[in-house]
Amino acid sequence: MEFMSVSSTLYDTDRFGAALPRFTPRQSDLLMVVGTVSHKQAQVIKTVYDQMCEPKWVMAFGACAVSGGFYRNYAVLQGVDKVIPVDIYVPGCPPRPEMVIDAIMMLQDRIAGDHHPILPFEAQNPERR
Amino acid sequence: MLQPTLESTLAGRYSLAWTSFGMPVFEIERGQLAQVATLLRDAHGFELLLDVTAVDRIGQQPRFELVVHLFSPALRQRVRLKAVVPEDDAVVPTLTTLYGSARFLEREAHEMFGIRFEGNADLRPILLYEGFVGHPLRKDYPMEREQPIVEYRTQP
Repeated sequence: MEFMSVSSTLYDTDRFGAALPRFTPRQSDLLMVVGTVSHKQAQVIKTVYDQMCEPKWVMAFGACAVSGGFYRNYAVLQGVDKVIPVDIYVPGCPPRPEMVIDAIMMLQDRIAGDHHPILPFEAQNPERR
Repeated sequence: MLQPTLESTLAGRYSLAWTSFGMPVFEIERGQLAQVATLLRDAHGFELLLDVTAVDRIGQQPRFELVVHLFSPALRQRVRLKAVVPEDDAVVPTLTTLYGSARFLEREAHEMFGIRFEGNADLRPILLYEGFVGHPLRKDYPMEREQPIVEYRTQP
């Protein structure tokens, strides 16, 4: 629901170049883990992550994906970072759309400043300030 | 009222009867479960099995209490049957011969509480997965125990 809100007209992540939800992991760059992950679902998340092409990033969206939330029991994975590496954490239950946009922009800044795994270093860093 | 009618139907087959929030409750012997359900079904139309579950009264003897809910579409009434089950002999006769839905409800009660249902041939877990040890709705199942399927990442 929060994801729908953030991607629809009112908040509109398209403005920040974070658009086009892909419904196949093979074409996507960012995996947003939205919601509670149980131990049974963890295998699915792991498979989806493994299917994504490099370079790839993961956002843990909401308290449940970050840490298991208030589900401390036999069924729920205590944070999706126990199974796959997470680049950015968005807390909240549910997170505000502004927080998600902020997280996307922070991630974009980080990616822009990162060493690109394909381009040579000089091509990515023409001038260092 | 329904309560006196049911009490006369089940006369001699229950040890305790009371009304809980308008729902008649009968405490019966676990061996009598199928007979009592048959009586209720034939006499009052309790044709629908709503739930088979259990209560873990840890520290008490006997430890478990089996809870069965029945519904009569004709009367639009529910009834609750309770039967105590000891821990060292957690076996209850099945209701699958009377109600088809008992197959799945008993499977769930079996995986969550470890109560075996004699006569139900298929007691594979539904919600739990292969290799899961223990019965998570028992009160002595540790809350923080994790049984992951996917191996946890080692933090760099």
